Amino acid sequence: MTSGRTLRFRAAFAAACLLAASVAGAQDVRPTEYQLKAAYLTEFGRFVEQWSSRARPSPDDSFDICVLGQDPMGSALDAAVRNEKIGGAPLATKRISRPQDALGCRVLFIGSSEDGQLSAILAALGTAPVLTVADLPDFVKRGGMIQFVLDENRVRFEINLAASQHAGLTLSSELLKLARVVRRTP
Amino acid sequence: MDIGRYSIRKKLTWMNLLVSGATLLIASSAFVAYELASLRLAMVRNLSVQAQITGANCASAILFGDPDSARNTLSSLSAAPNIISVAIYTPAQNGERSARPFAAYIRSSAGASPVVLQPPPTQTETYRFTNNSLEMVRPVVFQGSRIGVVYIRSDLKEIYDMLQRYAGIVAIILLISLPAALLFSAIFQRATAQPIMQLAGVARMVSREKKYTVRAPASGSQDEIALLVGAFNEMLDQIQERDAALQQAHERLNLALKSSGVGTWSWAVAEDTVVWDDFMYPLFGLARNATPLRYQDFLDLIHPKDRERVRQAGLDAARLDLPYDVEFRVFWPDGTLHSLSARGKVFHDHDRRPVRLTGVCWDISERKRAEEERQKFVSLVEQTDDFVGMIGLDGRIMFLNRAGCRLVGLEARKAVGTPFADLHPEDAWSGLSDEVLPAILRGDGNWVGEAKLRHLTTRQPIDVLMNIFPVNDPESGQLLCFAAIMRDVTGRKRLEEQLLQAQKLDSIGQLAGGVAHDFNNLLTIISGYSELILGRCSPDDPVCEPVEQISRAAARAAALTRQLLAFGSRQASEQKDVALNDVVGNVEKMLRRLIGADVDLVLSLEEDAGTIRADPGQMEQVIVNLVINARDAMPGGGRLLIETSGLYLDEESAQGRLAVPPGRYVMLAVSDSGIGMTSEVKSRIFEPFFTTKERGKGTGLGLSTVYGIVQQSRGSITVQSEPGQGTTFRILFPAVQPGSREFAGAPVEMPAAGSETILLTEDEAGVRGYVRYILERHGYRVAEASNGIEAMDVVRSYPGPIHLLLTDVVMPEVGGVELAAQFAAVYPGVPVLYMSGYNDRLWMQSDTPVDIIQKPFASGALLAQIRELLDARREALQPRIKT
Repeated sequence: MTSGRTLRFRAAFAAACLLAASVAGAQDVRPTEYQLKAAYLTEFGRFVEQWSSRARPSPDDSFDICVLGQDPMGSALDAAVRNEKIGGAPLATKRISRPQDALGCRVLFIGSSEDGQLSAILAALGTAPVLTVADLPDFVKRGGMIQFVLDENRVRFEINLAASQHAGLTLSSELLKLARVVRRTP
Repeated sequence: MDIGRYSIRKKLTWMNLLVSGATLLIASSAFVAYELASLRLAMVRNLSVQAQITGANCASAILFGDPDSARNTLSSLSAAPNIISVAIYTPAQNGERSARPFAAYIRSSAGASPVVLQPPPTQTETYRFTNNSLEMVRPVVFQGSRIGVVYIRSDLKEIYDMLQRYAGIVAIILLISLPAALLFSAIFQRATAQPIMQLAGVARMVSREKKYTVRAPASGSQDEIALLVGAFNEMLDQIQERDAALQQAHERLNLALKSSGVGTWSWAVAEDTVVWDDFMYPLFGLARNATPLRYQDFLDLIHPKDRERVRQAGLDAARLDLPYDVEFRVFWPDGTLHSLSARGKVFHDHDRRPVRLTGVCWDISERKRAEEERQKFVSLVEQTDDFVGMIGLDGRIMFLNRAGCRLVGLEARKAVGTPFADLHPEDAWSGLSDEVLPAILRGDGNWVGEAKLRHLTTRQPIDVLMNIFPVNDPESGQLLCFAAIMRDVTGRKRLEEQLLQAQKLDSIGQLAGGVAHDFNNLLTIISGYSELILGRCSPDDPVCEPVEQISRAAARAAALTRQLLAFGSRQASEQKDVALNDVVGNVEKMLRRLIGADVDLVLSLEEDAGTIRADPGQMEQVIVNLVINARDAMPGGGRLLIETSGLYLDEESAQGRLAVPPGRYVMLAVSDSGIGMTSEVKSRIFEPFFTTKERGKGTGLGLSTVYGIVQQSRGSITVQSEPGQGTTFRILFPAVQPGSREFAGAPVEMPAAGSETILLTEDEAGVRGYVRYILERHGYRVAEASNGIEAMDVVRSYPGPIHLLLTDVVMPEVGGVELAAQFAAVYPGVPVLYMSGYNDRLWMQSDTPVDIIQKPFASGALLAQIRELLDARREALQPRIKT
């Protein structure tokens, strides 16, 4: 049951070929920015140690990917999540409106609508093991863990390692490797 | 490449080198191959690991679509110099792998040709070795799922390097070991090849220079080579010995051949050439010559009659392995003929094919000649009819020829060893040994005389003329043995006796015959003229009676004359063909009356015993005379047997009788069981006037008459008799085929008159005158002659033809038969009538039947016969009427 993944791979690959495509010629279907981000969201979970190997949640437990605030990805996220599992747990999406609701989430995407309440959100989360992801500016500076940045039409991300450590999350070096910037100090 | 040509040393060296080299190479190759395989495996594993690690490291990059990061990771592979290129492919949108890699690393090859990134192979195999690279495709697996493939290519430099290295090592190894092998080779050769080569060297020298005195040096070792050397040397020893022996034998042979004149020859069968030694040529009268002949040349020298036999003998010997032993004659160039003997033996090759016929040849001319001479003498001795024998000093026969054995009735194989004395009757031998042998032993030479032998089986005495002489050793003069040559004179003696007897009788007969002839002539005149007178006189003429008396007296005189002639075999008789059995049958009745009742007459007549030419009356007289004698020999009665049979007398049986030729005969035998005769009496029995009866009884002419008649009939008579054992007279008459011309008796009527001319030849004037008178009276013209010569004169001068010759038989100068022959030359076919006063067996002297009239004859008979002859002639001359 890798059809969803296949789809996602295709999307990822297509994104990677953006540069080549622009040189070679037209490509078929170019995934949008938020499709990519949605795909990434689903992937991040794999690179978190606790969730990929240890502390495997039971199959009954779902691996929740929550979106707080305005959901820019919409159905893309749902599509990316469909039929996917991380560590045996099926992925699920939740849209929440309060930060407290995010405590049961594994990955939390903070929408741009919540930009003003960011610190409060982060404080509310505390040391809960929730991977915070946003494409808010200076997200990682402000304490977020993974921040989407656009880099020459490519979706990259920056990682705040300290923040993840603070939450007790260990991020795989693989992920770190891909990040554009990695902050180590809080 | 002929391996065999190389020396042992080279072979051994090469062998060593090859073995070492091959072994090393094989080992090295195996090793290298193993290493290669291992290396490949290792390479594959390494590459696989590298691919997997790379893939794993790029997983996040793939997931997050970060080719740079992936590229980064990939570029770390530059640390592995063997990696040509690595590329990560992720699935394209259509589900298949895209043609472009997600990220790739290509090795920068400085200076070398740029490496081209190639799309991954589409086969399912995970790795593949190409000519110069190892390619591998490995999936990138992240947390259990395949997110892409790594296509990694590595060059094979490592392998090549390894191969190079190893090749170098192997080369070095070989470089070091092969010379080492050579070295060891050289060392070992001393022990192995050298002795062999030495042996070979010696063998070569022996065969080239034929020196059997060299020996191969003994090798110190005790291996097979040493054995070989030892055996070789032993062999040379043996050859030397044999050589020496051969040489000696050769010399001896040569010596023998030289002194014996024997030549040796050899015929090479396949090439058909013949090789002769020096001694062969003289045997053929040729000069010594070195060139070999062809076999055919040899054959051509042989006498044509012997050639084929010799040729065939050669073939038989060569093909069938038969012994070759021939004698043949050859012509020498000077034309002389010599005899040679050749013997030979055939030699075969391994396949039993004849290769050579070799043998000896020598001259046997002398021997052949001696043999021929000997053979001549042998046949002389064997074929002679005389007894030729040799008697040893012990008195036993050493040799007896065929005739001798036959004479005494001794079997050839029993002859040798029989005592000579056994051949003689006892009384004869004592006389012989007293008289003969001392004479010989005295050295008187040989003894010739008459002697008596005795036939060993029949016990009959054999009269011989014997010649005994001693045989002495020519050198020492010592007496070796006696030789006896004898001739059987029994027959001769008997013949002599018979001849004597015949002569006696003959002389008497001659006398009587002579008288009778003249007498007959006179009687012819007397009775002839009497007849004339009687013919003229009338019954009451007184002169008739006395003339009648004269005529009768003349007739009686004639009868008496006939009888007189009978025993002198000069009787006038009428010969005709008569079956003897008929004659016997005719007289049988009379015989029975003659012999009386006391004598038992038995007739044993063979059927068709035969026909003889005789006067039947005379035959009867013979039988009667014999029977009377037989009767008189049995005064008290007895048995009388008359036999007839036909028989054939061959050479041998005829010999014992008086000049009787072989042929068919009819036998008449008269046997009695009377008192028999002594040999004295037997010897005189046929003498005229000889009689055993008392005076007055018997004329003594009976058997003489018989004898004479038998003689006349060209037969023979013998008598067998022993005192007290009866007597048998056996008479043989020549058998004839019935059919000779016979003449009828006196005619009854006076024949017709004739007017032909008759030539009358008769030496007795009186008879001639009488006959002429009769003839002329009867109308014939008569020409006269008194003997044969005159008659032929008349024949030549007579003006007219002569129709008949009437001639006497016995005349001076030319007799009647000769005259007839001469006459027939002039008058062929003209009849001839003989007048005969004898019965001179005239009819036997000529082959054809003759016409005879016996004197004295009646005129009527004469005229009748003449008429008959003339008529017959006339008939014959008449031409046949054609119908």
